[in-house]
Amino acid sequence: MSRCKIFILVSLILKKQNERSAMNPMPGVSFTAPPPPPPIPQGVELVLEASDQWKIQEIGYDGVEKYIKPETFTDNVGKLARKIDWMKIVGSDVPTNSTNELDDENVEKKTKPSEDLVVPEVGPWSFVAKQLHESLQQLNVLLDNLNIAKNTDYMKPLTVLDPISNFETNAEMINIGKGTQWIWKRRAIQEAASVLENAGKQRQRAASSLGLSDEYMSHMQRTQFFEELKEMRDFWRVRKTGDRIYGDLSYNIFGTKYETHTLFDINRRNVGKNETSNESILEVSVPKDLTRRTMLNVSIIKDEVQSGNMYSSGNDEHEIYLKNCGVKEKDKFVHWKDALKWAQNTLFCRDTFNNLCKDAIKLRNRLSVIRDNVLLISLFDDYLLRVELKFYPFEKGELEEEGDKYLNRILRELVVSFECTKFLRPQMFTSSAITHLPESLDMRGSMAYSADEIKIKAIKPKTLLERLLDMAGHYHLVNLTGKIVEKCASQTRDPCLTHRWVQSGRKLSKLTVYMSSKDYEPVLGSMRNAFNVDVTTDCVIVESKEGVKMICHRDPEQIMYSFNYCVCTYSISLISLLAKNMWTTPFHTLHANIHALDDEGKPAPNLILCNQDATQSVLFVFRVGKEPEIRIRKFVVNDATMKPEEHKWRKLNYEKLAGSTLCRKVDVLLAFLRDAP
Amino acid sequence: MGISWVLEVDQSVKSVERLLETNGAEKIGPFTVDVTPYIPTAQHSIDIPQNYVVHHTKFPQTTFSIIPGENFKKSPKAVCDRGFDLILSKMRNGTTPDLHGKIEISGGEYRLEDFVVRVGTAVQGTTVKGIVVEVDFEPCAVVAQCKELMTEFIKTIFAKYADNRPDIFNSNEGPQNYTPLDTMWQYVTIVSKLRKKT
Repeated sequence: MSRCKIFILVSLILKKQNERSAMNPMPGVSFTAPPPPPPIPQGVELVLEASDQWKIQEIGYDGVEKYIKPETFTDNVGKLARKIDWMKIVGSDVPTNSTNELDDENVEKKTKPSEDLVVPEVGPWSFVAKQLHESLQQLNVLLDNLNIAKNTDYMKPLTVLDPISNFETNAEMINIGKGTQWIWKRRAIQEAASVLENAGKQRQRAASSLGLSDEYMSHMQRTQFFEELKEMRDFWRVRKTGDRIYGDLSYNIFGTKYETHTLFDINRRNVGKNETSNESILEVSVPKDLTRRTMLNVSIIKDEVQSGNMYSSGNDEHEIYLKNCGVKEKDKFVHWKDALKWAQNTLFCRDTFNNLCKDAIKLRNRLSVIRDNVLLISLFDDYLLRVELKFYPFEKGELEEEGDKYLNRILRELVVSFECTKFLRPQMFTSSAITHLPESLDMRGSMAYSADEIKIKAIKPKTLLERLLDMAGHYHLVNLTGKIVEKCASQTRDPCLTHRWVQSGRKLSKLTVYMSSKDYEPVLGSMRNAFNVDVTTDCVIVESKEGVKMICHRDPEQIMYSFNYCVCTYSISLISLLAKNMWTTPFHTLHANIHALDDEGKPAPNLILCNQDATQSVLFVFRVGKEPEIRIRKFVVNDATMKPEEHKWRKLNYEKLAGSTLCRKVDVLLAFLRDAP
Repeated sequence: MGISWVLEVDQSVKSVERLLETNGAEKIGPFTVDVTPYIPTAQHSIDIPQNYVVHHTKFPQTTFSIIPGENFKKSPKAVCDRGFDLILSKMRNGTTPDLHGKIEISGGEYRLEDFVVRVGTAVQGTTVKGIVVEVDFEPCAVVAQCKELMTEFIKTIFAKYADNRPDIFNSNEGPQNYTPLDTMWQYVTIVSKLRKKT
């Protein structure tokens, strides 16, 4: 523009000069003609500038321009990184340690010395150590986050008031949830209302139409069905899968339940319209092999010819039930309460019998025979324990209890208590592992039990059959001892025997037998007059009042002999006390020997008394089981040798002595001899 | 159950064993007793005293811990199950086991009627420190009832040591039950004497 202006100015000036010169040629001034004006250019004006300039952020008042620096590569990455939602990608439960996939393949993994990081295997502090380790990890994560936030631009901490996008989605979900919740609630209440309406209508109709309509009947049946089902659930395990309702006949508390062979189905019985029977509406179908009644009979029999056939119990009818097990009489109705009870009892008895047979096979040192559902096992000597599994028809009726009532009950009780015992128990003090050791061993460390004590206190489990045999053996011996004591008491009139069971257990019992002499108790004072009998599972031990233990094993004759021996020793003490206490001039005991033996080597306690004047001596010999022998002789001391002379003993006839009991006879005799010359 | 008299003898293990066998004893098995001192760390040397942890094969599930004081009554003692060792290992910052000072007595057990005699060599690291014999009279539990019998037994087998009775044998306090801790106390006293020997 300026050049143009200059040009135009120049051209105007020249023009004016030309005009002047043309008009007034001045004398003497000659101008050369000015050059012709250049041509005016055609086209567009162009201006060239650099286009890549930093943007101006601001221009200061002093004219300084501040530019916005363009982003470097790291800034760009930082900006992009801030946009990523890391928690979604990584997940919250991945450990913060770098995993194998992220490491380079060529980097060797350094194995750190693991002493500080190993969690101890046992001990009460392992849980604490684990928690501490986890919190350490969390702290490390926090530290890393702070480091990153402080030193780099990849993460920027938010302030508290910054909105987090999560809240928005939660709010939406809650909104949706509320709506659907209301809809669900309304639907549920509508359904319940319809049911109640239905029931109300039924009741109205029932009240109006005297309750014989079809609908009412079906409603009543349904109610009855559910009530009976509820009743059944009180006693039996009942389950429903899909359309099928079934129950469990097994009797175990710990262990698998609902095994296929013990299941029974529950159905509704098709009752006719007009049937108003009182029978149950539930129909139960029990497994076929359990549709019979069973009894498990235990008894002790002697292995001799008179026992007859020990296998069969002589009843032919029940043999049918051994072979055909099925409910033949289907038209006979068995109420489910009875049916289930009988079926479970059959299962129980059958399982118990099988266990006993398995135990019998394991016991190598006892002979046993199993045949026809009868188990015979040797108890001791000639006696056998007989266990029989007997079947009866699946009908109502009283079953006669065979076998020994006590043994039947014991067997049942043993099995039931085994089922109820929990063999694994948790340690209560610290949450340690479960243990199978008995409670008596819990303090073995802190009470310093020695190795022997620990072995003794550790309970060794005995099989069912062994325990049953112990108890049966003891039971048999107790009965035997009781019979012998009564027999002895009835045979021995003087002294009089009474007995008392001091301890009565399943494996050990104690009996005390008291001997008394009528009318002479005040004379005897506090003399020991009782002896004890211990009955264990396989032995009877008689302990006399002097402490002599006589092991009688299981021989009834030996037991009787021991009782009579105790009576003899009692008689000796009795007579010597009588002689001393009854008289102001008492008889002296010259010799007394409880352990004396006679010519045959059998015990024959004896006693020699001498009167106050030393003129007569009396000898009492008590042979076991026989009447006492009384002999007398003169007591003469030889002046020369100063020793008593051995005169002949004269035997007295015990029967002819005056007096009804030993005490009275002795009393009378001593009265005679007191002053005899 | 059982009263023990622990003594240190001069004879060799073989000679003691031969002596017992000639008297009719039968070997019934091995035995080990180990006594480990636990030393407090530097920061806790004032609060935590030194304690001895003893194990004995007669009491396989038990650990004994004794802090030796002036006499048996005044020393804190404890009987625990084997978990005690694991608890102590957690307290490594307070008290550490001195494995160089640990003394192990191992040998054989001999039974002579009611007496069980244990003869063992006391070893610290690789050095043999001495021979220790424990005479255990099993049926009795009250010292007053059997101290004369035990003295007589020791007189017949180890004549020269019969006069040096353990403290509990000399106390006249009346019939008190003997506990396994009394045995361990005797071991700890003997072991501390052995440690001072070279």
